[in-house]
Amino acid sequence: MANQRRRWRAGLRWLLTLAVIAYAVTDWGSDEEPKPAEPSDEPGITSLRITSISDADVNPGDAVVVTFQGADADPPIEAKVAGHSAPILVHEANSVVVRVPAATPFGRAGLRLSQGSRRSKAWDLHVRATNHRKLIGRLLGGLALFVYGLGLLASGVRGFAGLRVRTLLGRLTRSPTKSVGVGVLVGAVTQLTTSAAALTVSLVDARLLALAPTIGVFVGAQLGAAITGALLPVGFARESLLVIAIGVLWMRLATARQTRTVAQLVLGAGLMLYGLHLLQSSIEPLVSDPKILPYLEYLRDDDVVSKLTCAATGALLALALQGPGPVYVLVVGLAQASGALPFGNALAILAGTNLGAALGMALIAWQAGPLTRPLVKPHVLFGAFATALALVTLPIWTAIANAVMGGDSGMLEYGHTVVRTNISGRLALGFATSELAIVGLWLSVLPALTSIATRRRAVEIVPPAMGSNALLVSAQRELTRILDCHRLALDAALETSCTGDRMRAAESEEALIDARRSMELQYSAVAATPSDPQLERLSRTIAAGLQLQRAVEQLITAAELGVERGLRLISDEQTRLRAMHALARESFDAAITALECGVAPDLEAAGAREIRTNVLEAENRSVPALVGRARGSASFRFGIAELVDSYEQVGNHLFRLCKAMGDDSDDLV
Amino acid sequence: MTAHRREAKYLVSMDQARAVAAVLTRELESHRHRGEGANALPAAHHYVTTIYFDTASRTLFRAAHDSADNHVKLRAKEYYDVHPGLTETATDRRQLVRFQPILWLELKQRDGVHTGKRRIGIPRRDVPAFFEHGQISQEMVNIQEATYGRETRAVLGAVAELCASCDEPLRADCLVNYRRTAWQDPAGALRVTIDTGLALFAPPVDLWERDRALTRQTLGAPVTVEARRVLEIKSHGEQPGWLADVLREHDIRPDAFSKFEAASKAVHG
Repeated sequence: MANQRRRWRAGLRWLLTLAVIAYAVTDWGSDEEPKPAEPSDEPGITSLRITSISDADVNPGDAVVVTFQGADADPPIEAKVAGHSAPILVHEANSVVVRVPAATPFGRAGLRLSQGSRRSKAWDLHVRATNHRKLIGRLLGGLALFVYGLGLLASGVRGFAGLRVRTLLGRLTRSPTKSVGVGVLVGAVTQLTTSAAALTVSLVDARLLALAPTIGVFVGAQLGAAITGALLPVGFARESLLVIAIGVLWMRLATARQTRTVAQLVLGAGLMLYGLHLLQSSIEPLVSDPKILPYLEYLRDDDVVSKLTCAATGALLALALQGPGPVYVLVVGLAQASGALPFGNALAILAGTNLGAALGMALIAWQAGPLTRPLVKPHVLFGAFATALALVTLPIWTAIANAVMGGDSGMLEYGHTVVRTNISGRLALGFATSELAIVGLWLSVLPALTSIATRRRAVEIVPPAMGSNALLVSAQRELTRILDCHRLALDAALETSCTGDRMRAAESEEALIDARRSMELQYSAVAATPSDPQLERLSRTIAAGLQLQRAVEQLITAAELGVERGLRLISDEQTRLRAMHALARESFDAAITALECGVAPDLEAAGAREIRTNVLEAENRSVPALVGRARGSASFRFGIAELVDSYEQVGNHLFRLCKAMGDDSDDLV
Repeated sequence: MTAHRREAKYLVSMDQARAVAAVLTRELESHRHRGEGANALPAAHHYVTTIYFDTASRTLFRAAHDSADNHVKLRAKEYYDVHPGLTETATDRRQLVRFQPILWLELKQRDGVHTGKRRIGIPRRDVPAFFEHGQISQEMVNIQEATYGRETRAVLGAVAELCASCDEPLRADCLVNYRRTAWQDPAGALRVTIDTGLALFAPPVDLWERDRALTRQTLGAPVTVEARRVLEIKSHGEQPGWLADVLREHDIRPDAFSKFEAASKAVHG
């Protein structure tokens, strides 16, 4: 019965998804069509006639595409809005792009074209004041949706194939060139350089990725984020609401963990793209606001100072917006809406994003700890190099883009409220080719940089120097914190195994990385201090703690692998696992209490718990495979065995930890 | 080391025990029973459970209490080893224990500073019949042959006779469990033991019916736990200088402590 219901839900899910996709790909009337407006009843009809305008609801400063009939080749077309002369930005055979003058009064205003003595009939425009409050709301909402969507997407990606992908990444980054390739992939998936940096740093911390290839991964991630940020989001953003619809549909009709993970992935992507769409659509009116336009004057000139100002602006924006992708969206919006930003200067802003993104990534690597700090210098160096080179070679990329896409920025792409020229395509091409060339050049110096960075690493981890008493107190306090972190990871593993929710396991991984680093530091500090019996015991305890850490990490991995295999624990299996969990937790509690009180743990009790854990593990082995399961596979059997075995390993190491912490007064030899 | 010898006993603190143990480890070899059927697993913790016998009216206790230098003790020792290292693979605490179900009955006579001891092995299940009827099984004879050869039956007979000579029947009176660490010189002229974790128990009801070792965890709650350690030095002749030095250095003085008396007092008051 349950299976039948599951099949029905899956069928319905796919049916509705296909319906949404069919709707998306079927052109049932594009909203890009120019809208007809009611002509006014003014007299003086001539042969010059406005046939349509792109949008009648406008703000002062907006650009409107006006199509007309009956015009001669000469003299030039002129436009007036409410009697004020309106500048014509672009002139085509049967259309012009007219900017609504800043001084246009709010309310109804007639748009009229004239050619010499001939005048067209006026079309009514509804001129509104720019609602900054609404736009800023959209801007903030867009940002929020973008960030939330990104988190959901990351969670979905992780839940779908997180562990496998990460292990694969570790294998794929064995050569510098490959590591740059992997970085491009990471950057393309995460779109934001900071997210790419965070993901990469987590791989380093989890020992899945060595430091040397990470330098290449960072560069690749920046390239990937730059290129996909420039090319993809704008295209997908328009369909983002449909992507969200599919995500919600899958979320509501999900019957299995993996389906929910896919739903998370789709919904996250949809929200992220919609957030980008909102950002872009709110930035356009803001930057086309007549009050803001004067500031663009600083970025318009064709001199070195202006280009440097553009690059600095790009660096700041990339640092603030976490990557070149969002900056690209903003620059395109700015260039298209205002018509005030020359192509070369727009490209200079994008050149500056190299430095800004590199600084953002370097910040992530710095704050992650001593293990990844050697990445900071080479990557900032890369950012500075890339920006400088892109600026110096700006004429080359401008020429290439103009040659491939055509240099006429007046070519129209009809937009909703703004003029769309081909500047977005030219920018994408110019930016992408410059980035590719710069990264290609950088690859030649990468091995040398890698060697310098990794050589320095060995001397950067320095244990804190302190007296033996202070060290004892500090280490005991730190060990208590670390064991608490292990205990939380244990809870996360159980939750992941029983519910399939991998978020807590993911969170605990970060804490475990921190715990390992801390224990290594403590161990180094103890080793560097003159020995005494208490410190020797402490040293043994930390060593046992490190082994316990490995066992807990293995448990988390086993729990995640179980989820990836689609392992769903049945009631009996959950009961056995919970019993083992309870024993391990009891041992953690005992060890933490002993540390807090400065006493030795009860070894008899620790031994009894360990034996009980062994009994449960043995019982699990003796249960015939897949008993109680409606369906199953060898993969399930391995999954359960791995989980139970991992718990048993945790139990073993907890016992060893208690032994190491204990002062066996009967041990005289 | 079961013939006549000098025996000195000391009650020491944990720190004193550790200091002496450090010197002993340097000067002597750690001693472990390596006879036939002995446990050869490494990292063993050696334990002893001693069953002291007495009459219902505590004849032996009073004799020992009244005269520290001249008395007889009858006790049975069970030796067992615990391997904490096996905990990680064990599914039962008994799997940590290695033992042979043989009690070593010791008839200990003290005459001034000299102590004499006769020792025979009895399967635990045969103990009640041996005490009640002097019954000697073939298995008992086989166990003693390695030690006493042709005189086995005579020794067994003598011990049985001594047991039967008491006015009242002997029965298990009290138990003492402890961990023993031993050092011995190659010639066997000097043997030093330190007993730690002394726990004193009343005899459990099923003492003779058990098929497992008399480990501390199976004896119930101890009546008393002795925090100090018992250091015993058994030697033929004078103690070596280094040993005397360490005792002096740590102000360790002889003590008339008796496990039997302490346990009997603890159990019966």
